[in-house]
Amino acid sequence: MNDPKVHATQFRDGFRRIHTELEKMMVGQGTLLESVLVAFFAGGHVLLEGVPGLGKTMLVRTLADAVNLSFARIQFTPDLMPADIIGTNLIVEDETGRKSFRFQRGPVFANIVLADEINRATPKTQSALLEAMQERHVTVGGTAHPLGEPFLVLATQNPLEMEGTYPLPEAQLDRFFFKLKVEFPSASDLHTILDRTTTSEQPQISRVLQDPAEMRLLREVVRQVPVAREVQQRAVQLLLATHPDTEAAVPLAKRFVRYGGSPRGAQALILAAKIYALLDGRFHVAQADIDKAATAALRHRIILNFEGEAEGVTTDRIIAEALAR
Amino acid sequence: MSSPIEPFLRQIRVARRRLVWQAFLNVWVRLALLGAGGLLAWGAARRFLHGELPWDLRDAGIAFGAAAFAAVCLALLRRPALGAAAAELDRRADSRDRFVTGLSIGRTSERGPFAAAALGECAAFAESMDAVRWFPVRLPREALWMIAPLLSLALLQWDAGAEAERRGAAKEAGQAEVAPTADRLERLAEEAREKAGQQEDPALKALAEKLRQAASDLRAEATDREEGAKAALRALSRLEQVLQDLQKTPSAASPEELKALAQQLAKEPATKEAAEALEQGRLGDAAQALEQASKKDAPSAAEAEKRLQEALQHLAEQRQHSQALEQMMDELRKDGGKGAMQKLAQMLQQMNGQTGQGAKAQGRPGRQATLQEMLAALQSLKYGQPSQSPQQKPGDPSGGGSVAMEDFGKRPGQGQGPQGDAGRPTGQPGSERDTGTTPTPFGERPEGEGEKGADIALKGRLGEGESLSVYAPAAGDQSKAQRRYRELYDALAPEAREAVLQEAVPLGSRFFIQRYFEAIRPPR
Repeated sequence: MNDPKVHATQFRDGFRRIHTELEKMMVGQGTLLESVLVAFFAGGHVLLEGVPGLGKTMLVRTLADAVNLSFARIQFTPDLMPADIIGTNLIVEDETGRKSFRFQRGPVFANIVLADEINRATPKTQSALLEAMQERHVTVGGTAHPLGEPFLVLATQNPLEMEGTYPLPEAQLDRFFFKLKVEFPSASDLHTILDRTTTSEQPQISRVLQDPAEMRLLREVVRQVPVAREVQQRAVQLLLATHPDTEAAVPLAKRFVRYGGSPRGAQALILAAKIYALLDGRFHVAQADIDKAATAALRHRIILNFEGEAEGVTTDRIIAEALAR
Repeated sequence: MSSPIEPFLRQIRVARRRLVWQAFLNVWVRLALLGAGGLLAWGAARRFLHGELPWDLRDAGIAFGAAAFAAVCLALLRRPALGAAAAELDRRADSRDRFVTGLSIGRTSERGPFAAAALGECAAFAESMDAVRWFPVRLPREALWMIAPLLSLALLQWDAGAEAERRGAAKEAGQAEVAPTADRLERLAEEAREKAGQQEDPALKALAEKLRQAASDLRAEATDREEGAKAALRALSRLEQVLQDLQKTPSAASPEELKALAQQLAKEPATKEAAEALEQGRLGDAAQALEQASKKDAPSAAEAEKRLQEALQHLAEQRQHSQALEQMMDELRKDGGKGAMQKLAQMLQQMNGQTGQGAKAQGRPGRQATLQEMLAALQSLKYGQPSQSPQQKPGDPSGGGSVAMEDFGKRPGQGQGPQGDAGRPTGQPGSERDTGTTPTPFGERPEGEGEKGADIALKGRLGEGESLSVYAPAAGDQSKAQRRYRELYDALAPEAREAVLQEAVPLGSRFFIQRYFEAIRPPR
């Protein structure tokens, strides 16, 4: 950390190059890609919400290729067991005929994990992933097994098919750094997708980062960015505006919100804002950076009350009102 | 070594100074609007309630000065802190919170490499910009609203000025209107004072004071031409009444009454002597004889008392009592009808005394003569005739005028209208031109015609009312100027008609009023 300018430039270049690689495979999802990368460099997990077929798996796979990290995909189903995710102890016999337990790692031990349709698994299985996401290790048979570093979970859920699903509990939702909505591509984007996927030429993904250590260095750069107290006040103000019982609450929150965002939301705001500041070529965070991260960082942390659900109020609308204040 | 926050402070202070200036202008304009509104209300009250000029430079200076002072105080009180000014600067200049961050990081002693880099980058940005550009100081939009109260105030001022000018002109006209009358009254007061000094008469002295006071009041009351004319008429009428009251002497029993009483007294022997003395006009002797007869306890005296009472009763039935006899009858009624002879003796004694005083007064005839001269002069003024007082020289313009007050009623001791106007009614029966061509005196049918009138008595006394007379200059043959007279009639006829129709005039009297107005109506 001798020269901040050099490191900031490295970070910016790395970020841009990864983004460029992702754009080779994902068409018309620039904002989504940027947000996924922000969460990745901030060390957070991402919940992707979108209908099937929009390239979520492709996104995660491409990201893993670009940053040269291991990738695993878990398709969540109702009969999926926790051991299917975290792994299990197997009885193995060595050459001498001696039997012993050996831990067989599950897919969660990859650096980047795609938890596809996470809401289809039972809460028991979901909670197994919950521990891995927060604690960065899994415990099997009383033994804790640390996960790889970096570790990123990208979970997806389908907003349309709600039958036979187990909605994620609030505690688990709070573990996600961002909740991103995957929008349907536009007509021109669809043309581009068709052109790229129906020909013999497949885009080649270059490895931007060579090893995880480089990744850790860039993450460290992010945390060095200073935030003035007056600017940080903006994050606090936004968070309190979603709490119906505080004086800072916006009218919509007072009427339709049961619980506001958690302190993890404010952490996510600041971390994301630091990355946005670096991407903007600044060494300090501005309030605009915080505002930019607000929707993705807070939308899944606000719990609507019954009236809010009945009225069809979205958390995005509440955040927009808080931002407009 | 300069402070790391110096580049920020420089720009932030500029921003704060301009914020204070802008706040001052905003508050000042709003307070000035309030002040102008208040000034407008105050000016309107002064203009329409008190008739004064609505405002002056002092009032306006106080209003706007107070607004400026309050604005300075409020602007300084609301002066933003450096942090708030930095936030405002960041917001306006879209500087991505560089000033807030620079101020915050610059104040910390320990700074990491990234913080130092951030401070340097923010400082470079601060030095490259000019805060003045983002803080223009201009009058707020509400300043345009000042046009409304200022325009209203200007209009109010103009209106008040025009009104004051009109009143001044009217007052001048009023003063000019009453000036001849007031001057004349002052000269009369001077004459009365001289006469009072010569004759040592306190009544004349008091009259002089009243004349002088009347002249002073007249000048004060003359706010315009019309009011001046009315005030002059009122003053002259009051003074005329005062003079007439001074001329009055207590009325004694008339010779006819005395004669009737003497005839009754002569019928009894006890009062024969008194009757003879009364017949011969020796009132003192008659009084003494009656005193003696009343003291006698004789049947003849009692009979004489009875006859005397009957004679008084008879005179009362004929309504021929004089003031003296009326007073005597009142006393008799209080005493139950007794002592008529004694009371008659007292009355005769009083009359005898008055005769003596009258002779004495005749020995000093100056007072009555002075009063008569004063009365004549006042009536001349009132009727507009150029008369000359004993001291007035011929050709004095103050002696008369083109407009004068005239009493159309019967004047005491006169009974004739102005001289030299044969076409006008004199008040004597048969002098009117009664053509009888219209149903009303004014040539039209009156409202409420045919309704039954109430039987009520008229109030007031003949000749006490006021009227206006305009002397129309005419040709040298002293004939009436028909055109001017017709204009005058047309102007005054509605007022007269309203007065006549509104007054509860008995039907019998209405005929005479109608005949009078018909008589003075100019021929068409």
